[in-house]
Amino acid sequence: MEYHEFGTGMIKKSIGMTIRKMLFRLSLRTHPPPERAFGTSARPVRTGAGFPSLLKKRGSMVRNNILLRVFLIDFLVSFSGMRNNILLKGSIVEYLVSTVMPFHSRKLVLYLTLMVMLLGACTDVVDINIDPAEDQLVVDAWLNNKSEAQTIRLTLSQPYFSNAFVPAVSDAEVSVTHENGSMFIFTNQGDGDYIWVPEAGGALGEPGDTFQLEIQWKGDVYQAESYMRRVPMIDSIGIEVRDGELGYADGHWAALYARDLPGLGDTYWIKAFKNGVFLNKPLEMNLAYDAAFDAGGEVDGVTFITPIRELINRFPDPDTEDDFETPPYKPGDEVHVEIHSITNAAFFFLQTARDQMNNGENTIFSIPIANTKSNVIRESDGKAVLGFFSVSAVSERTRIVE
Amino acid sequence: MRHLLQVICLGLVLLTTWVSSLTAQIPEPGLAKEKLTISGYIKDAASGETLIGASIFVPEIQNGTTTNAYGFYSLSLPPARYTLSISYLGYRRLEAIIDLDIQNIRQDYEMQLVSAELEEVIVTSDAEDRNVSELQMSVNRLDIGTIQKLPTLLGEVEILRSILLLPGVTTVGEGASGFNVRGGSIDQNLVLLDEAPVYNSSHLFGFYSVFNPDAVKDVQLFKGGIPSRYGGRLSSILDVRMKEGNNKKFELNGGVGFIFSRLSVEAPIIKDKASFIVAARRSYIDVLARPFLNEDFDGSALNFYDLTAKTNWSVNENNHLFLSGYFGRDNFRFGEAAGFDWGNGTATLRWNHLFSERLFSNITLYYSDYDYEIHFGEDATNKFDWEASIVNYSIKPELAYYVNPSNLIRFGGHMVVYDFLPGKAIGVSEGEVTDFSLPSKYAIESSVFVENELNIAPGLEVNYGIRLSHFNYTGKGFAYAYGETSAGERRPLIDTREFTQWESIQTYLNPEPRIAIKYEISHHASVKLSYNRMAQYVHLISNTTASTPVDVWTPSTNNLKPQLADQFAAGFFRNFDDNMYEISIETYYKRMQRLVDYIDGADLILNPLIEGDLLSGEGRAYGLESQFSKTEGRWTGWISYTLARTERRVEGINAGKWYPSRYDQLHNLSVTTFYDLSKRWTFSASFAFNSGTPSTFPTSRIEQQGYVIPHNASDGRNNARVPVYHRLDVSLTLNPKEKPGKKWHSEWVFSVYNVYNRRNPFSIYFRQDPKRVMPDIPIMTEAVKLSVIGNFIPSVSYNFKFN
Repeated sequence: MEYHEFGTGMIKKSIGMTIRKMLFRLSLRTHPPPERAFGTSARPVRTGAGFPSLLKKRGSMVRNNILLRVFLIDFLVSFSGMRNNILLKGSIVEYLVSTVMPFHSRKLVLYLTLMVMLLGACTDVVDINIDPAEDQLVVDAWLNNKSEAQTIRLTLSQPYFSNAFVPAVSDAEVSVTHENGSMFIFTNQGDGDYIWVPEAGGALGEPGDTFQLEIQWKGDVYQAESYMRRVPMIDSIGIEVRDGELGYADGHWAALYARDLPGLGDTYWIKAFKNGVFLNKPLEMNLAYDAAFDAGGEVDGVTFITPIRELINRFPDPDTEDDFETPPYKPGDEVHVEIHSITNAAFFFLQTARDQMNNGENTIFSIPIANTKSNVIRESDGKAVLGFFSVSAVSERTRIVE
Repeated sequence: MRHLLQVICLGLVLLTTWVSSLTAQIPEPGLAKEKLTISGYIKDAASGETLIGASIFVPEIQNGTTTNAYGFYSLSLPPARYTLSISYLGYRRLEAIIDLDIQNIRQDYEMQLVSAELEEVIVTSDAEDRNVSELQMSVNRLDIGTIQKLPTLLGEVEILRSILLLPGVTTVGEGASGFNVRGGSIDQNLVLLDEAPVYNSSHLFGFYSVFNPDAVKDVQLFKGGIPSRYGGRLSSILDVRMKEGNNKKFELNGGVGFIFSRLSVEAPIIKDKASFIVAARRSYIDVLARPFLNEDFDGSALNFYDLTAKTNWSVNENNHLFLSGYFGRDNFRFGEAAGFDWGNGTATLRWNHLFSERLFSNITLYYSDYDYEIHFGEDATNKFDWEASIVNYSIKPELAYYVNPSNLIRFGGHMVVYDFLPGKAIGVSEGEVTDFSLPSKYAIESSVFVENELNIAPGLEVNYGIRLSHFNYTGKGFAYAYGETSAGERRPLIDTREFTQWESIQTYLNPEPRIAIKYEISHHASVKLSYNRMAQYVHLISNTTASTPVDVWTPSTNNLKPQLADQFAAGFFRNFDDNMYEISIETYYKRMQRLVDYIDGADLILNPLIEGDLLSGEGRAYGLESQFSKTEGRWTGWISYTLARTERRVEGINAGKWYPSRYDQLHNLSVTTFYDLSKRWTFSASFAFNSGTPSTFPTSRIEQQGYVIPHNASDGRNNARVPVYHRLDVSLTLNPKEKPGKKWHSEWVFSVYNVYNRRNPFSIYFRQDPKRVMPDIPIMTEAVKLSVIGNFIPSVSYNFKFN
């Protein structure tokens, strides 16, 4: 294994980023519990008494203190990492944990800063050699009932550090069959994409339908099945103007108001788009099990809990004009939110993927990483390949920020 | 009928007590004529503290004994005139002539510390041959004097950090709480503070431990050959004994460091009869930070503290009472609205009673509690409270019968009542109350043991014994039955049964045989062998790399079976140059069964059906430990090197194949040295090197919907290793010039931790470029090394003593 450590400039940058990332993450979770009334629209979010003024002072202090930026780093995150572990694994308990705690984490920040100044915990990007594994077929088939072109993408797995475009599989035959026997042929685009376009106003099917995916490639047949679950309506997208709250850049923030359907076991993938761009960072992946994070809490039939509600705000890109000081939305921006109903298996697939992609955030409290579990089976040996086949029902809503 | 075994065990406990008191009262006419007994306590002359493990050698019979954990010794010999040669490391050898001709003799001895005389001439203490002559193998002792001289992290004397310098003891990294012994997980160590178990031995996650060095007398770590009087954990026993408190005169000890300050007071209550010690510590970074905070932070706390106290009373020659306690907490409170705190509390009451000169008994009653609380919420309509705890109540009678210098019988029992509160959680949201609480779990662990330490022939000594342990998982509560599923998947619930209070749900009985043999090849060399079986009935549920304070302990249940370990160890021990140099080489093989593991994506927090997410596996650990020490002279220290392997196999993980556990380290070397530069300056250094710990690395990446997901093609666990760890720490201790007769003694300790500023890896993790992924550009992925300590850390601390 060879090691290459970047200079202190790099470290400082990553540290500053971590602080802001942290504060942002904390901020994602600083909100009151779900509203109980059915179909309520957005209302202003109440924050703790005396909170804004306090944060103003603290906020400017944190912002102005370069030492804090330099030294407040992953040791701090390790505390939050523990909490994060709770958060990601969570239920309403975790939600509640998350709602109130960050308000007052500032002193913790200071305290740990002093510790960290002394200990100097840090992260470095390093070079590592990993023995390459054999390339395998990856099925990227997340379809929905929208009346628009549906794409299935076939690729190969790559060495972890290849950092190149993913190799396309462009010599397969792909089709999806509805339980009523109708077959949708996905046309090979030659670049790994296979596309089916419904006729105007048409779609793959509706909630309650079952679908079969079949791929023929190099003499093997791959199959998968998915079920289109029901999806709730989006009641509204709320926009709030925030001013002087630590962790929130001054400006416009969005919140999703929708209510989980009564009955346990509904799973959703909530996708947000800012001006047509899908918010696709791993930290932005927004999954819901009923109205909360996980099955254990049995938080059913209520408005999505606050962290889920607020995760439609983009995570900033440090060192760009879209950094932590920039609010996620400004007047004229378009917020578009889609709720995709997914099967429980798809939910666990995405949850595992998210755990894997974000495990570093847990620092010393990381969990053993596990592979995602595919539902695509090779017919010849009954073994699962990589990727997933999912068919969702979608509800969507768009709002222009005033 | 379910209670039968438990009743039997309890019966045996009481019976042993009763029988022994009876036997003690029966005069032994035949024997009494043949043999007389000399017995008593060995103490420190300055403080009156009893000395544990002091050696009493009788040259006339070429045999002897050592003091027990209370400083008591007893020798039964034919009437004659004898010489007692009493020695203890760091103390002047004491020789006493006794005439054991008419009656039993009761005689206490007080020993003088050698270092007190250093000012005049360099006197070396009598080196001990304990390394060779002691029957017990796989044991490490650290005296508090040595621990205090070691280089420190931020100037704080640390007991748990010190034991990491011993062979066979490892950790997953800085900041991780607990320690791993011979391939065991952290919950397989029984950490005892005056016999009460401490369930979380860490302050501030894992940086500091709960033991206040000012109140600690003796630290012993048993890694193997564990005698049958100890039980309850698979891998080790860390037996920390507290000081009794100076019963001669008032004494004040304290220190000021970067992290916390400490102060202890000890004094006689009745001179030579009763004394006490109270020792306290508190961290104060939050106090220092206060000027920078505004009034909105009133009611906040960010600190940890602990209080250790003990008192003892020598009622008369035959009765001695000890009462000790510990209370400590880590507090993270942010105003009224949010807080997180955790801590241990223990209380121990002990009664030493001499039934006769030859029958020593001790009854211990203890209470131990570990709990944490998480609280959020500004007001009563929106809040969340979560607490969890493990509470023990225990009674533990033990007797030692000194038959003759070659024969010692110990027997006794132990009964623990457990009360587990896995999580009491109440959420109030806009006035609506939701209760997520899990019900308490109850269990009773009972055991009886007997062991016999026998000197079979000159140089050949054996300690054999058996411990019979019984566990009763009881109501009230629910017992769940789970269906079968493929390995590594969550098991479905198929049945639930309700049980009433103390109704037995599941019982387990395990005989735990133990044997240790020592053969002295010569006065300078010995060979030791041992075997022990250990059973463990309580488990720490944690799947994170470093254990967190919110991890919960859980009893064995109808689904979760007790863990078992068998360990074989063999060792060779050799001393040179009048015991100035010691070498020990040990090899061990440990097989562990029914270890707890977790399915992928296990939900371990407030999950009533947690057992459905648990897996059971086996483990094996083997290795070679060696240690070379120099115990005398201006230059002292030790080198320890361990070559070891620890592996696990669990159906459902790593395709059911063996894989290295997270704390596996092939090589582990540590060098610790002390050098007296002058009368006033002492230098010490320690160097640690170990192989990188295993970790799971992805081999490839796959793309789904624009995300890059790491993928491990072999589906393996711990398929790679983080880079090697090495670190050098140094310290200098200055004892300022003192006028003779001065009562105030002080020292300055200057330390540098991680001298050459290496960023040792704690872990390596993988992530995609944190920037937003743009179409038409390949997604970048990278590996990131996490170092918990990334600087060299200088520190200075000041310690004082007034007496």
